[in-house]
Amino acid sequence: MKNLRIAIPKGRLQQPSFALFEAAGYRIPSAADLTSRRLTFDTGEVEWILVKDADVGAYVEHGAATFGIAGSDQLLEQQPQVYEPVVLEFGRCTMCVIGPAGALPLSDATAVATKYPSFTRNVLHSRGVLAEVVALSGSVELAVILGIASHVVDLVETGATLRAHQLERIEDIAAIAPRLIVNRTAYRLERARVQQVIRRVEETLEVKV
Amino acid sequence: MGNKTSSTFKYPAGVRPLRGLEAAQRRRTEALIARRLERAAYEEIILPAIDFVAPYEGIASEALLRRSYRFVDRAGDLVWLRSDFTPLAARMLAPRIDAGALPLRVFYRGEVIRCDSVRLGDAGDFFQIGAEKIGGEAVEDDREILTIVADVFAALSMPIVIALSDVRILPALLSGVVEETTEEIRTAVRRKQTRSLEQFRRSVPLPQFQLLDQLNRGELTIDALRFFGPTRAIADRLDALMKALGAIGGVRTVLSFDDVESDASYYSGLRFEISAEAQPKQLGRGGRYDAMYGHFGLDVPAIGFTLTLDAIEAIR
Repeated sequence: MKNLRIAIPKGRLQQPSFALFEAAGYRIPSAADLTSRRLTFDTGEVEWILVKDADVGAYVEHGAATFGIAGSDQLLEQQPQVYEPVVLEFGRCTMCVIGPAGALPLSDATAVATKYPSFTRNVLHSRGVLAEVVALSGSVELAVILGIASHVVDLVETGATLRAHQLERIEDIAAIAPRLIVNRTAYRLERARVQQVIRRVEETLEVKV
Repeated sequence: MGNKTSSTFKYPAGVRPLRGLEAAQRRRTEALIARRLERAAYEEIILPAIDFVAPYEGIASEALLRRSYRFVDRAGDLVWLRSDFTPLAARMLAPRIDAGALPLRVFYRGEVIRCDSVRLGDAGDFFQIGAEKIGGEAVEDDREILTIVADVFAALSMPIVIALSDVRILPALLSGVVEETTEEIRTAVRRKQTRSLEQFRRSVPLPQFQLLDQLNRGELTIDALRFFGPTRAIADRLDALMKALGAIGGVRTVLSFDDVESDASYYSGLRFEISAEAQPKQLGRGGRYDAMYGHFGLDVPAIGFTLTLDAIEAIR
Protein backbone atom coordinates (compact mmCIF):
# COMPACT_ATOMS: atom_id res chain seq x y z
CA MET A 1 0.00 0.00 0.00
CA LYS A 2 1.40 3.36 -0.95
CA ASN A 3 2.33 5.91 1.69
CA LEU A 4 -0.30 8.08 3.19
CA ARG A 5 0.02 11.57 1.72
CA ILE A 6 -1.07 14.55 3.79
CA ALA A 7 -1.30 18.12 2.48
CA ILE A 8 -0.20 20.78 4.94
CA PRO A 9 -0.99 24.43 4.24
CA LYS A 10 1.86 26.89 4.11
CA GLY A 11 1.48 29.98 6.27
CA ARG A 12 -0.09 30.47 9.66
CA LEU A 13 -1.57 26.97 9.85
CA GLN A 14 1.63 25.13 8.92
CA GLN A 15 3.28 24.92 12.32
CA PRO A 16 0.17 23.99 14.36
CA SER A 17 -0.81 21.43 11.69
CA PHE A 18 2.53 19.67 11.97
CA ALA A 19 2.35 19.93 15.77
CA LEU A 20 -1.03 18.24 15.72
CA PHE A 21 0.18 15.28 13.68
CA GLU A 22 3.33 14.97 15.77
CA ALA A 23 1.17 14.83 18.91
CA ALA A 24 -0.92 12.17 17.18
CA GLY A 25 2.18 10.03 16.86
CA TYR A 26 3.28 10.74 13.30
CA ARG A 27 6.86 11.53 12.33
CA ILE A 28 6.92 14.98 10.85
CA PRO A 29 9.66 16.67 8.79
CA SER A 30 12.56 18.07 10.79
CA ALA A 31 13.07 21.79 11.31
CA ALA A 32 16.01 21.61 8.91
CA ASP A 33 13.82 19.98 6.27
CA LEU A 34 11.21 22.67 6.64
CA THR A 35 13.67 25.49 6.17
CA SER A 36 14.79 23.99 2.86
CA ARG A 37 13.07 24.78 -0.43
CA ARG A 38 11.56 21.35 -0.65
CA LEU A 39 7.82 20.86 -0.79
CA THR A 40 7.56 17.10 -0.20
CA PHE A 41 8.92 15.10 2.71
CA ASP A 42 8.80 11.35 3.21
CA THR A 43 9.03 10.38 6.87
CA GLY A 44 8.29 6.70 6.33
CA GLU A 45 4.65 6.31 7.26
CA VAL A 46 3.57 9.58 5.68
CA GLU A 47 4.51 11.67 2.70
CA TRP A 48 3.94 15.31 3.57
CA ILE A 49 3.32 17.93 0.92
CA LEU A 50 3.39 21.65 1.57
CA VAL A 51 0.88 23.53 -0.51
CA LYS A 52 -0.71 26.96 -0.63
CA ASP A 53 -3.62 27.03 1.80
CA ALA A 54 -6.09 27.78 -0.98
CA ASP A 55 -5.00 24.64 -2.82
CA VAL A 56 -5.26 22.03 -0.04
CA GLY A 57 -8.90 21.30 -0.87
CA ALA A 58 -8.14 20.74 -4.54
CA TYR A 59 -5.23 18.37 -3.83
CA VAL A 60 -7.39 16.31 -1.48
CA GLU A 61 -10.47 16.42 -3.70
CA HIS A 62 -8.59 15.00 -6.64
CA GLY A 63 -6.76 12.34 -4.67
CA ALA A 64 -3.27 13.86 -4.86
CA ALA A 65 -3.37 13.76 -1.05
CA THR A 66 -5.57 11.56 1.12
CA PHE A 67 -5.76 14.08 3.94
CA GLY A 68 -5.21 17.76 4.35
CA ILE A 69 -5.60 20.57 6.81
CA ALA A 70 -7.73 23.33 5.34
CA GLY A 71 -9.18 26.45 6.83
CA SER A 72 -12.95 26.51 6.65
CA ASP A 73 -12.65 29.90 4.95
CA GLN A 74 -11.04 28.15 2.00
CA LEU A 75 -13.58 25.36 2.13
CA LEU A 76 -16.42 27.89 2.01
CA GLU A 77 -14.76 29.64 -0.92
CA GLN A 78 -13.57 26.68 -2.99
CA GLN A 79 -16.24 24.14 -1.96
CA PRO A 80 -14.11 21.11 -2.74
CA GLN A 81 -15.90 17.76 -2.72
CA VAL A 82 -14.22 16.36 0.40
CA TYR A 83 -15.25 15.14 3.82
CA GLU A 84 -14.42 17.24 6.88
CA PRO A 85 -14.39 14.73 9.73
CA VAL A 86 -12.60 16.78 12.37
CA VAL A 87 -12.89 20.42 13.34
CA LEU A 88 -9.59 21.56 14.81
CA GLU A 89 -8.92 23.77 17.76
CA PHE A 90 -6.13 26.02 16.48
CA GLY A 91 -6.24 28.98 14.11
CA ARG A 92 -9.81 29.92 14.90
CA CYS A 93 -11.12 33.26 13.73
CA THR A 94 -14.24 34.83 12.31
CA MET A 95 -15.33 35.80 8.81
CA CYS A 96 -16.66 39.31 9.25
CA VAL A 97 -18.11 42.24 7.41
CA ILE A 98 -15.75 45.13 8.01
CA GLY A 99 -16.17 48.79 7.30
CA PRO A 100 -15.05 52.24 8.31
CA ALA A 101 -16.36 53.61 11.60
CA GLY A 102 -20.09 54.25 11.35
CA ALA A 103 -20.48 52.28 8.14
CA LEU A 104 -23.93 51.10 7.11
CA PRO A 105 -24.82 47.40 7.35
CA LEU A 106 -24.03 44.96 4.55
CA SER A 107 -27.55 45.32 3.19
CA ASP A 108 -26.58 48.85 2.11
CA ALA A 109 -23.21 47.90 0.61
CA THR A 110 -22.34 49.17 -2.85
CA ALA A 111 -19.04 47.34 -3.34
CA VAL A 112 -17.56 44.60 -1.16
CA ALA A 113 -13.84 43.84 -1.35
CA THR A 114 -12.73 40.37 -0.38
CA LYS A 115 -10.31 37.49 -0.88
CA TYR A 116 -13.38 35.26 -0.92
CA PRO A 117 -15.41 36.41 -3.93
CA SER A 118 -17.43 33.24 -4.42
CA PHE A 119 -18.44 33.01 -0.76
CA THR A 120 -19.18 36.74 -0.62
CA ARG A 121 -21.35 36.57 -3.73
CA ASN A 122 -23.34 33.73 -2.16
CA VAL A 123 -23.86 35.75 1.02
CA LEU A 124 -24.97 38.83 -0.93
CA HIS A 125 -27.28 36.83 -3.19
CA SER A 126 -28.85 35.05 -0.24
CA ARG A 127 -29.69 38.45 1.23
CA GLY A 128 -30.75 40.03 -2.03
CA VAL A 129 -27.97 42.61 -1.85
CA LEU A 130 -26.95 44.01 -5.24
CA ALA A 131 -23.39 45.04 -4.46
CA GLU A 132 -20.33 44.64 -6.65
CA VAL A 133 -17.78 42.14 -5.43
CA VAL A 134 -14.20 43.35 -5.73
CA ALA A 135 -11.87 40.36 -5.68
CA LEU A 136 -8.48 41.09 -4.10
CA SER A 137 -5.71 38.74 -3.02
CA GLY A 138 -4.48 40.51 0.12
CA SER A 139 -4.54 43.59 2.37
CA VAL A 140 -8.20 43.90 1.58
CA GLU A 141 -8.75 46.50 4.31
CA LEU A 142 -7.07 49.00 2.00
CA ALA A 143 -10.07 48.81 -0.30
CA VAL A 144 -12.32 50.65 2.15
CA ILE A 145 -9.53 52.93 3.34
CA LEU A 146 -8.85 54.03 -0.25
CA GLY A 147 -12.54 54.17 -1.11
CA ILE A 148 -12.81 51.47 -3.78
CA ALA A 149 -15.24 49.49 -1.66
CA SER A 150 -17.85 50.33 0.93
CA HIS A 151 -17.30 47.13 2.90
CA VAL A 152 -14.85 44.26 3.23
CA VAL A 153 -15.48 40.59 3.95
CA ASP A 154 -12.42 39.07 5.54
CA LEU A 155 -11.11 37.07 8.47
CA VAL A 156 -10.71 38.74 11.84
CA GLU A 157 -8.63 37.12 14.54
CA THR A 158 -7.60 39.62 17.21
CA GLY A 159 -8.94 42.75 15.53
CA ALA A 160 -5.55 44.44 15.68
CA THR A 161 -5.49 45.21 11.95
CA LEU A 162 -8.94 46.77 12.15
CA ARG A 163 -7.99 48.94 15.09
CA ALA A 164 -4.79 50.02 13.37
CA HIS A 165 -6.88 51.42 10.51
CA GLN A 166 -9.89 52.69 12.52
CA LEU A 167 -12.09 50.07 10.92
CA GLU A 168 -15.06 48.38 12.57
CA ARG A 169 -16.36 44.87 12.70
CA ILE A 170 -19.90 45.37 11.42
CA GLU A 171 -21.18 41.79 11.37
CA ASP A 172 -19.92 38.28 12.04
CA ILE A 173 -20.82 35.98 9.17
CA ALA A 174 -19.19 32.65 9.97
CA ALA A 175 -16.98 31.07 12.62
CA ILE A 176 -13.83 29.80 10.93
CA ALA A 177 -11.75 26.87 12.10
CA PRO A 178 -9.38 24.56 10.26
CA ARG A 179 -10.63 21.10 9.40
CA LEU A 180 -8.99 17.78 8.81
CA ILE A 181 -10.29 16.96 5.34
CA VAL A 182 -10.17 13.64 3.53
CA ASN A 183 -10.61 12.46 -0.04
CA ARG A 184 -14.05 10.94 -0.47
CA THR A 185 -13.02 7.92 -2.47
CA ALA A 186 -10.18 7.10 -0.10
CA TYR A 187 -12.61 7.41 2.82
CA ARG A 188 -14.66 4.72 1.19
CA LEU A 189 -11.99 2.42 -0.21
CA GLU A 190 -9.22 2.75 2.41
CA ARG A 191 -11.62 2.86 5.31
CA ALA A 192 -9.48 1.25 8.02
CA ARG A 193 -6.44 3.41 7.31
CA VAL A 194 -8.50 6.59 7.02
CA GLN A 195 -10.44 5.90 10.21
CA GLN A 196 -7.18 5.26 12.04
CA VAL A 197 -5.86 8.70 11.13
CA ILE A 198 -9.14 10.35 12.11
CA ARG A 199 -9.16 8.50 15.43
CA ARG A 200 -5.59 9.45 16.23
CA VAL A 201 -6.28 13.11 15.52
CA GLU A 202 -9.51 13.09 17.54
CA GLU A 203 -7.81 11.38 20.48
CA THR A 204 -5.06 13.99 20.37
CA LEU A 205 -7.65 16.75 20.58
CA GLU A 206 -9.41 15.02 23.47
CA VAL A 207 -6.16 14.78 25.40
CA LYS A 208 -5.59 18.50 24.95
CA VAL A 209 -9.10 19.31 26.21
CA MET B 1 1.22 35.48 -37.59
CA GLY B 2 -1.16 38.26 -36.78
CA ASN B 3 -2.08 39.67 -33.42
CA LYS B 4 -2.61 36.95 -30.85
CA THR B 5 -4.32 37.95 -27.67
CA SER B 6 -5.17 35.81 -24.67
CA SER B 7 -8.61 35.19 -26.19
CA THR B 8 -6.92 33.43 -29.12
CA PHE B 9 -5.97 30.56 -26.85
CA LYS B 10 -8.60 30.70 -24.16
CA TYR B 11 -11.87 28.78 -24.08
CA PRO B 12 -14.84 29.32 -21.78
CA ALA B 13 -15.03 27.21 -18.62
CA GLY B 14 -16.47 23.78 -19.31
CA VAL B 15 -15.15 23.12 -22.81
CA ARG B 16 -11.89 21.70 -24.06
CA PRO B 17 -10.95 21.03 -27.67
CA LEU B 18 -8.99 17.89 -28.53
CA ARG B 19 -6.62 17.11 -31.33
CA GLY B 20 -4.20 14.44 -32.50
CA LEU B 21 -3.75 11.47 -30.19
CA GLU B 22 -6.19 12.79 -27.62
CA ALA B 23 -8.94 13.13 -30.20
CA ALA B 24 -8.22 9.68 -31.63
CA GLN B 25 -8.21 8.13 -28.16
CA ARG B 26 -11.49 9.85 -27.35
CA ARG B 27 -13.18 8.41 -30.41
CA ARG B 28 -11.77 4.94 -29.78
CA THR B 29 -13.00 4.88 -26.18
CA GLU B 30 -16.36 6.25 -27.22
CA ALA B 31 -16.72 3.65 -29.99
CA LEU B 32 -15.73 0.78 -27.73
CA ILE B 33 -18.30 1.71 -25.09
CA ALA B 34 -21.01 2.37 -27.68
CA ARG B 35 -20.43 -1.05 -29.26
CA ARG B 36 -20.82 -2.72 -25.88
CA LEU B 37 -24.07 -0.91 -25.23
CA GLU B 38 -25.42 -1.71 -28.68
CA ARG B 39 -24.50 -5.34 -28.16
CA ALA B 40 -26.60 -5.28 -24.99
CA ALA B 41 -29.57 -4.05 -27.08
CA TYR B 42 -29.38 -0.42 -25.97
CA GLU B 43 -30.52 1.93 -28.71
CA GLU B 44 -28.71 5.21 -29.21
CA ILE B 45 -30.62 8.45 -28.88
CA ILE B 46 -29.18 11.84 -29.76
CA LEU B 47 -30.15 14.67 -27.45
CA PRO B 48 -30.12 18.40 -28.16
CA ALA B 49 -27.24 20.50 -26.90
CA ILE B 50 -29.53 23.27 -25.64
CA ASP B 51 -33.03 23.31 -24.28
CA PHE B 52 -35.46 25.57 -22.51
CA VAL B 53 -35.03 25.80 -18.73
CA ALA B 54 -38.74 25.92 -17.91
CA PRO B 55 -39.55 22.21 -18.40
CA TYR B 56 -36.87 21.27 -15.85
CA GLU B 57 -38.05 23.45 -13.00
CA GLY B 58 -38.79 21.20 -10.09
CA ILE B 59 -36.48 18.45 -11.28
CA ALA B 60 -33.14 20.17 -11.83
CA SER B 61 -31.44 21.08 -8.57
CA GLU B 62 -30.40 24.63 -7.78
CA ALA B 63 -26.79 23.39 -7.75
CA LEU B 64 -27.12 22.02 -11.29
CA LEU B 65 -28.77 25.17 -12.59
CA ARG B 66 -26.03 27.33 -11.10
CA ARG B 67 -23.36 25.24 -12.82
CA SER B 68 -25.07 25.52 -16.18
CA TYR B 69 -24.69 28.12 -18.88
CA ARG B 70 -28.02 29.83 -19.22
CA PHE B 71 -29.02 32.62 -21.53
CA VAL B 72 -32.04 34.22 -23.09
CA ASP B 73 -32.88 33.37 -26.68
CA ARG B 74 -34.22 35.79 -29.27
CA ALA B 75 -37.79 35.08 -28.23
CA GLY B 76 -37.00 35.97 -24.63
CA ASP B 77 -37.07 32.42 -23.29
CA LEU B 78 -34.42 31.19 -20.88
CA VAL B 79 -32.40 28.33 -22.36
CA TRP B 80 -29.49 26.30 -21.03
CA LEU B 81 -26.62 24.33 -22.47
CA ARG B 82 -26.74 20.62 -21.76
CA SER B 83 -25.06 20.01 -18.41
CA ASP B 84 -26.73 16.73 -17.43
CA PHE B 85 -28.07 14.10 -19.80
CA THR B 86 -30.58 12.37 -17.53
CA PRO B 87 -33.34 15.01 -17.38
CA LEU B 88 -32.93 15.76 -21.10
CA ALA B 89 -33.40 12.11 -21.99
CA ALA B 90 -36.56 11.95 -19.88
CA ARG B 91 -38.00 15.10 -21.46
CA MET B 92 -37.36 13.78 -24.93
CA LEU B 93 -38.61 10.24 -24.38
CA ALA B 94 -41.53 10.64 -21.97
CA PRO B 95 -44.01 12.03 -24.53
CA ARG B 96 -42.84 9.55 -27.16
CA ILE B 97 -42.83 6.25 -25.37
CA ASP B 98 -45.56 3.75 -26.06
CA ALA B 99 -46.30 1.89 -22.81
CA GLY B 100 -46.27 -1.32 -24.80
CA ALA B 101 -42.66 -0.70 -25.76
CA LEU B 102 -41.45 -0.81 -22.15
CA PRO B 103 -38.94 -1.57 -20.86
CA LEU B 104 -36.96 0.69 -23.15
CA ARG B 105 -33.18 0.62 -23.24
CA VAL B 106 -31.34 3.67 -24.53
CA PHE B 107 -27.88 5.19 -24.49
CA TYR B 108 -26.52 8.60 -25.37
CA ARG B 109 -23.18 10.32 -25.66
CA GLY B 110 -21.86 13.81 -26.00
CA GLU B 111 -20.52 16.88 -24.30
CA VAL B 112 -21.88 18.17 -21.04
CA ILE B 113 -21.02 21.80 -20.58
CA ARG B 114 -20.79 23.29 -17.12
CA CYS B 115 -19.53 26.69 -16.22
CA ASP B 116 -17.29 25.37 -13.43
CA SER B 117 -13.66 26.23 -13.93
CA VAL B 118 -11.46 23.18 -14.18
CA ARG B 119 -9.37 23.05 -11.07
CA LEU B 120 -6.05 21.56 -10.16
CA GLY B 121 -5.68 17.96 -11.30
CA ASP B 122 -9.19 17.88 -12.69
CA ALA B 123 -9.54 16.08 -16.01
CA GLY B 124 -12.78 17.98 -16.36
CA ASP B 125 -16.21 16.56 -16.95
CA PHE B 126 -16.65 17.30 -20.62
CA PHE B 127 -17.77 14.16 -22.42
CA GLN B 128 -20.14 11.54 -21.12
CA ILE B 129 -21.69 8.31 -22.26
CA GLY B 130 -24.76 7.16 -20.41
CA ALA B 131 -27.37 4.46 -20.59
CA GLU B 132 -30.68 3.85 -18.96
CA LYS B 133 -33.43 1.31 -18.70
CA ILE B 134 -36.88 2.84 -18.57
CA GLY B 135 -39.80 0.90 -17.19
CA GLY B 136 -38.19 -1.67 -14.92
CA GLU B 137 -38.38 -1.43 -11.13
CA ALA B 138 -37.19 -4.86 -10.02
CA VAL B 139 -33.82 -5.69 -8.53
CA GLU B 140 -33.15 -7.59 -11.75
CA ASP B 141 -33.24 -4.26 -13.58
CA ASP B 142 -30.71 -2.82 -11.13
CA ARG B 143 -28.53 -5.85 -11.71
CA GLU B 144 -28.79 -5.50 -15.48
CA ILE B 145 -27.57 -1.91 -15.40
CA LEU B 146 -24.69 -2.71 -13.06
CA THR B 147 -23.73 -5.75 -15.13
CA ILE B 148 -23.52 -3.52 -18.19
CA VAL B 149 -21.26 -1.14 -16.27
CA ALA B 150 -19.03 -4.08 -15.39
CA ASP B 151 -19.02 -5.25 -18.99
CA VAL B 152 -18.02 -1.82 -20.29
CA PHE B 153 -15.05 -1.61 -17.96
CA ALA B 154 -14.06 -5.19 -18.73
CA ALA B 155 -13.87 -4.10 -22.38
CA LEU B 156 -11.69 -1.19 -21.27
CA SER B 157 -9.53 -3.57 -19.20
CA MET B 158 -10.04 -1.39 -16.13
CA PRO B 159 -10.79 -2.95 -12.76
CA ILE B 160 -13.37 -0.87 -10.94
CA VAL B 161 -15.08 -0.47 -7.62
CA ILE B 162 -18.82 0.10 -7.54
CA ALA B 163 -20.03 1.70 -4.33
CA LEU B 164 -23.71 1.06 -3.68
CA SER B 165 -25.99 3.17 -1.54
CA ASP B 166 -29.58 4.30 -1.33
CA VAL B 167 -30.74 7.89 -0.95
CA ARG B 168 -33.75 6.84 1.15
CA ILE B 169 -31.64 5.70 4.08
CA LEU B 170 -30.85 9.08 5.59
CA PRO B 171 -34.43 10.41 5.41
CA ALA B 172 -35.60 7.19 7.06
CA LEU B 173 -33.11 7.62 9.89
CA LEU B 174 -34.19 11.24 10.34
CA SER B 175 -37.92 10.58 10.39
CA GLY B 176 -39.59 12.22 13.35
CA VAL B 177 -36.75 14.70 13.91
CA VAL B 178 -37.56 18.44 13.77
CA GLU B 179 -36.55 20.11 10.53
CA GLU B 180 -33.96 22.51 11.94
CA THR B 181 -32.17 19.68 13.69
CA THR B 182 -32.45 17.57 10.54
CA GLU B 183 -30.48 20.15 8.56
CA GLU B 184 -27.75 20.31 11.18
CA ILE B 185 -27.52 16.53 11.28
CA ARG B 186 -27.35 16.39 7.48
CA THR B 187 -24.44 18.84 7.59
CA ALA B 188 -22.60 16.71 10.14
CA VAL B 189 -23.25 13.59 8.06
CA ARG B 190 -22.21 15.29 4.83
CA ARG B 191 -18.92 16.28 6.42
CA LYS B 192 -18.50 13.01 8.37
CA GLN B 193 -18.16 14.87 11.67
CA THR B 194 -18.74 12.29 14.39
CA ARG B 195 -18.18 14.75 17.25
CA SER B 196 -20.71 17.21 15.81
CA LEU B 197 -23.25 14.43 15.45
CA GLU B 198 -22.87 13.52 19.13
CA GLN B 199 -24.61 16.72 20.23
CA PHE B 200 -27.82 15.47 18.63
CA ARG B 201 -27.95 12.27 20.64
CA ARG B 202 -30.97 13.46 22.59
CA SER B 203 -32.78 14.86 19.55
CA VAL B 204 -33.04 11.58 17.68
CA PRO B 205 -34.72 8.34 18.84
CA LEU B 206 -31.99 6.04 20.10
CA PRO B 207 -32.22 3.24 17.50
CA GLN B 208 -32.06 5.84 14.74
CA PHE B 209 -29.20 7.72 16.40
CA GLN B 210 -27.18 4.52 16.69
CA LEU B 211 -27.62 3.88 12.98
CA LEU B 212 -26.77 7.51 12.15
CA ASP B 213 -23.62 7.24 14.22
CA GLN B 214 -22.65 4.01 12.48
CA LEU B 215 -23.38 5.59 9.11
CA ASN B 216 -21.22 8.58 9.96
CA ARG B 217 -18.32 6.37 11.02
CA GLY B 218 -18.59 4.23 7.91
CA GLU B 219 -19.64 1.26 10.04
CA LEU B 220 -23.24 0.88 8.93
CA THR B 221 -24.03 -2.64 7.78
CA ILE B 222 -26.83 -4.34 5.90
CA ASP B 223 -27.72 -6.29 9.04
CA ALA B 224 -28.03 -3.11 11.11
CA LEU B 225 -30.33 -1.59 8.49
CA ARG B 226 -32.43 -4.74 8.51
CA PHE B 227 -33.18 -4.30 12.19
CA PHE B 228 -34.76 -0.89 11.60
CA GLY B 229 -38.19 -1.32 10.08
CA PRO B 230 -38.21 1.56 7.56
CA THR B 231 -34.89 0.45 6.07
CA ARG B 232 -35.43 -3.30 6.07
CA ALA B 233 -36.62 -3.54 2.46
CA ILE B 234 -33.76 -1.28 1.32
CA ALA B 235 -31.28 -3.52 3.11
CA ASP B 236 -32.71 -6.65 1.52
CA ARG B 237 -32.53 -5.16 -1.95
CA LEU B 238 -28.93 -3.97 -1.52
CA ASP B 239 -27.97 -7.37 -0.16
CA ALA B 240 -29.53 -9.14 -3.14
CA LEU B 241 -27.66 -6.81 -5.50
CA MET B 242 -24.33 -7.32 -3.73
CA LYS B 243 -24.73 -11.10 -3.97
CA ALA B 244 -25.67 -10.91 -7.66
CA LEU B 245 -22.66 -8.75 -8.50
CA GLY B 246 -20.24 -10.68 -6.34
CA ALA B 247 -19.35 -13.13 -9.06
CA ILE B 248 -18.37 -10.60 -11.72
CA GLY B 249 -14.64 -10.47 -12.37
CA GLY B 250 -12.82 -7.13 -12.38
CA VAL B 251 -15.46 -5.50 -10.20
CA ARG B 252 -15.33 -5.01 -6.49
CA THR B 253 -18.70 -4.04 -5.08
CA VAL B 254 -18.85 -2.27 -1.75
CA LEU B 255 -21.61 -0.79 0.29
CA SER B 256 -21.03 2.86 0.93
CA PHE B 257 -23.48 4.98 2.77
CA ASP B 258 -21.02 7.83 2.83
CA ASP B 259 -22.80 9.94 0.25
CA VAL B 260 -26.40 9.35 1.17
CA GLU B 261 -26.72 13.12 0.71
CA SER B 262 -26.63 13.23 -3.07
CA ASP B 263 -26.12 16.38 -5.03
CA ALA B 264 -28.22 15.04 -7.90
CA SER B 265 -31.57 15.57 -6.28
CA TYR B 266 -33.49 13.43 -8.78
CA TYR B 267 -32.19 10.10 -7.43
CA SER B 268 -34.99 8.22 -5.71
CA GLY B 269 -33.48 5.01 -4.39
CA LEU B 270 -30.42 2.98 -5.36
CA ARG B 271 -27.42 5.17 -6.08
CA PHE B 272 -23.96 4.05 -7.08
CA GLU B 273 -20.56 5.48 -7.87
CA ILE B 274 -17.95 3.91 -10.10
CA SER B 275 -14.29 4.43 -9.26
CA ALA B 276 -11.06 3.08 -10.61
CA GLU B 277 -9.54 0.31 -8.50
CA ALA B 278 -6.09 1.72 -9.23
CA GLN B 279 -6.65 5.19 -7.83
CA PRO B 280 -9.32 7.20 -6.07
CA LYS B 281 -11.01 8.78 -9.04
CA GLN B 282 -14.68 8.76 -9.87
CA LEU B 283 -15.35 7.47 -13.36
CA GLY B 284 -19.12 7.57 -13.37
CA ARG B 285 -22.24 7.32 -11.34
CA GLY B 286 -25.86 6.33 -11.56
CA GLY B 287 -28.94 5.19 -9.78
CA ARG B 288 -32.67 5.07 -9.78
CA TYR B 289 -34.74 8.08 -10.69
CA ASP B 290 -38.24 6.68 -10.51
CA ALA B 291 -39.95 10.07 -10.44
CA MET B 292 -38.04 11.60 -13.36
CA TYR B 293 -40.26 10.41 -16.18
CA GLY B 294 -43.38 11.19 -14.14
CA HIS B 295 -42.27 14.83 -14.10
CA PHE B 296 -42.60 14.78 -17.89
CA GLY B 297 -45.92 12.99 -17.92
CA LEU B 298 -44.99 9.30 -18.01
CA ASP B 299 -45.11 7.67 -14.61
CA VAL B 300 -42.59 4.87 -15.06
CA PRO B 301 -39.47 3.98 -13.09
CA ALA B 302 -36.00 4.31 -14.59
CA ILE B 303 -32.44 3.45 -13.74
CA GLY B 304 -29.27 4.51 -15.50
CA PHE B 305 -25.68 5.62 -15.33
CA THR B 306 -23.27 8.06 -16.94
CA LEU B 307 -19.55 7.59 -17.49
CA THR B 308 -17.15 10.50 -17.80
CA LEU B 309 -14.71 9.75 -20.60
CA ASP B 310 -12.29 12.45 -19.52
CA ALA B 311 -11.83 10.71 -16.16
CA ILE B 312 -11.52 7.30 -17.79
CA GLU B 313 -8.91 8.46 -20.27
CA ALA B 314 -6.95 10.33 -17.64
CA ILE B 315 -6.01 7.08 -15.94
CA ARG B 316 -6.28 4.51 -18.68
